Amino acid sequence: MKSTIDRLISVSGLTSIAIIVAITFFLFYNWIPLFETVEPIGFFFGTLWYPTAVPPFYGILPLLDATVWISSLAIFITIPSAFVIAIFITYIVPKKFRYILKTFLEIFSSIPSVILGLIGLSIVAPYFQNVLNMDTGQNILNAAIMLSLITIPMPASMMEDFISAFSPEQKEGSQALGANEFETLTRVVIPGLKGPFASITMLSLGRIFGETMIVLMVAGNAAIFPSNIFQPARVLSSTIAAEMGETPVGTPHFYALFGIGAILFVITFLINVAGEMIRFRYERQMMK
Amino acid sequence: MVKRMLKQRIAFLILSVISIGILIAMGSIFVIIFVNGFRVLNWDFLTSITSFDFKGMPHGGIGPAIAGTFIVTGLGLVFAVPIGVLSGIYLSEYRNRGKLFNFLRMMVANLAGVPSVVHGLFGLAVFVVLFRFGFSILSSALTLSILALPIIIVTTENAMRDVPNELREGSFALGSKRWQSALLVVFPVALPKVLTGVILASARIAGETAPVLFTGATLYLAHFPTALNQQFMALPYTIYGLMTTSINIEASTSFAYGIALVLITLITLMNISVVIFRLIKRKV
Repeated sequence: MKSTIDRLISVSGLTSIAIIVAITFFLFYNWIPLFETVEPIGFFFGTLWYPTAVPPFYGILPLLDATVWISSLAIFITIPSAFVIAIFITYIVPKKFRYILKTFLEIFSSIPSVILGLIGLSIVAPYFQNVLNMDTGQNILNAAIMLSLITIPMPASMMEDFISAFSPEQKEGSQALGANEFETLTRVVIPGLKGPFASITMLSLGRIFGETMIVLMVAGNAAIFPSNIFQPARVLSSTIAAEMGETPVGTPHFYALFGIGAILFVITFLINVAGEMIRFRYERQMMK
Repeated sequence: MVKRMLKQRIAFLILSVISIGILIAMGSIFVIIFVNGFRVLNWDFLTSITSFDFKGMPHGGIGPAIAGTFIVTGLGLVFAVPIGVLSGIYLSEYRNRGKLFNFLRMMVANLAGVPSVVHGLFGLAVFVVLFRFGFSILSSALTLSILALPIIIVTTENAMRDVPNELREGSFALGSKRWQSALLVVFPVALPKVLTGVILASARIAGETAPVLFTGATLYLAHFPTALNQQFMALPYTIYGLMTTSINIEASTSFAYGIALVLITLITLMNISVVIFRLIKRKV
């Protein structure tokens, strides 16, 4: 016997699936008409993104290239930093400060990204340009640093959870064999946590990849193929944010931006699913 | 033995230096915002209307932006809370194991991982164009509600799960139906924790820029919002607009810091209230 309220709750329970399906549908629905005017090869492998030129070019390769540059540099800074902070909190900080530090990380991670963009633009960029003599302060390095700062708290906190919850039997066993805390950490705990750390890395990458405002404000927005980290760049997400406001509905440019959105959505979806799958598997293993 | 202990000492020292460096960098962001923002902050700045002179200098205050942020956040919650809470109840009381449950949970996690600019595109395609709500408070609030949804679902589910099973069994023993036990017995116990989820969700959506960029936010509005079909000013979007479109960079930057201080204060207060609530819960 199902009452109306039961049905209402069941229908609400399926909202998340419905929204994911709807997002997928509308992204593709507004992308497909692009191929009436632009060849798929020109879109996926085109090396020029000049959507307002005559004739326009809608090649996303430079944007994709810049996204790979910035995301890899950011993840390269984020994961080791998060790992170091996680060890710092578990092994070095006195117990009573642990909760305070984790709370601080949580509050820091809630800073809106537009504020990190403001700092990157008004403080880090002039410093890069005037003190470190870079050609421009709005570049890949600046964006990657600001992206890492805002991302670090999440993986740091998750890693801390895993390290402090790591099997006490194995830790004690290692110490009974004469290993000190650091040796136990590097030879027992870290190898035992490869899986969860892989999952945490994926989830962090998903965040960095989709983050828009910091890169939009700080990376310098030049749709070129960067050759080093001191050059400006424009990524997939920030291109949508920068251009959609001035693009009339139903033009090829409009469809192309939805195409970028669809690609962004599919890639982050796959990264997140991979991260979640690894986590599910290891959570089950650790329960045993 | 001494050598190995020394190795541990050195390793922990290096780790500490790096960690403290990063934590100081994070802390200094709060300090920078506070110091720069405090200089422009006064009553007039918080309440009056923004205007730009012919040199691109911002004048007046951010009253409409504060109002806009409060309205879209509040309205976003009005849409997100009922659906999110019922959805969380479904996951904890109706389908709390099995394949569909795992799949649903993964979808919630994925929804939380959708880049906010993609939410903006979705809002543009559905609320602005398809539903013909136009660039408006309503479109932006609906878009933001989708961002808030996974946060509310997850916290509701966890809050309901933390309620001891004896309560459910007791209410079933007295002959109550599943929805009666879920909504009238378990939910009231879980309510305080559900509220922390709602606060976290509002802190999250109040600071979002990308979803409102092309669903209704505008850089300049000469009045306070009066209807849901109007465009609106929002705190995060105004920071972005000032920093990227203004001609007078120095004046815009200090103005932007003022807004950043207001925004960060709002969001941090919400987060701290959640932290305090958790502390009280732990001690009880």
